[in-house]
Amino acid sequence: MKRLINIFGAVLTAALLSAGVAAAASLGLSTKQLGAGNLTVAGCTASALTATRNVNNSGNVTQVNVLNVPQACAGETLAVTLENNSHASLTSSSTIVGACTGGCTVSVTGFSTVSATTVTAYALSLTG
Amino acid sequence: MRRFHITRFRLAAAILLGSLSVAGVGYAATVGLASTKLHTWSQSLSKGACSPTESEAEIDASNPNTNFGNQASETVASKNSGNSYVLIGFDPAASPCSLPTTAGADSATLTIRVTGTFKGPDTISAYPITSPWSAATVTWNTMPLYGATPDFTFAGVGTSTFIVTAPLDAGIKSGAFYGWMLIDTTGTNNATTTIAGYGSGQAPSIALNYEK
Repeated sequence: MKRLINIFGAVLTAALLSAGVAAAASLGLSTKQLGAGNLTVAGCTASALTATRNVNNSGNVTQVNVLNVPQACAGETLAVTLENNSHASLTSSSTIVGACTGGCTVSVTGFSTVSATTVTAYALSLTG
Repeated sequence: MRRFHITRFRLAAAILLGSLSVAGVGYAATVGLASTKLHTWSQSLSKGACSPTESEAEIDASNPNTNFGNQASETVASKNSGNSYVLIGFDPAASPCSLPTTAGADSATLTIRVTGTFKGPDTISAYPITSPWSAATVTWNTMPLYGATPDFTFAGVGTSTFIVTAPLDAGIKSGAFYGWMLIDTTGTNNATTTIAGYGSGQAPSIALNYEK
């Protein structure tokens, strides 16, 4: 019986260590919820990808193109917000990143009518 | 009813089960964390204005191997014996604009000054040029390719302005903007339309507002 209790003691120690790791992961999850801004959490890329936009002849934005999106981002949602010089949102739209060979350009359409002259920043996110 | 005795064995077993339950919750949270991929970033744009460097050339079917580049005036002609076209080009990638392919046009306005017409006035159509050319070397026999649909048209003497934001924006992004081929599309025999050229001080120009 004493030997059996020793064995259970060893198993218990291992279980508690595992529980300790799990607790750290749980804390990490809470940290993510508290984080804001540019915090990267297990994203498909850690890079700030370059975006460009197209306009029609009236100077209104017709689409935003995000360049060199890694293949690892396929299936994730790419969201783009066009901002003015106060960083207020002018319009936003999103799309699902498709599969492609190598780094690909992902185009986001569906913005409301916004003059390119008023757009001074893009806020972008990739979520999956 | 049998009495339940708390032995050291039963106590250890209870603690073990409890610990494993806690560990199970933890791993579930870890899986949730890994499945929530997130990457956010922002990009600021700077605004500016410039006038892209300009060049132009006349090409003449009657002199198919002669270059008429960057003259004081260039003439679009519709003749029995041979037409002449005028090419006008701008380079937003060169100084003073020096725009990268990640930049774009917020607005772009082209100004052309027609200094004279003979007969007509015929309608001049501006077709987008789609292959490289050089004002220093281009001739009728080496004319570049151009699109089938004109971006704009004009007729008569005077100063005309055209909104060319979309073509400039696309040209900036492609890194190669080739300008327009001016062609008389009315076809009056011997009609000519002369525009102020590179050497006149009133050459075609583009007022470009950009972002990069």
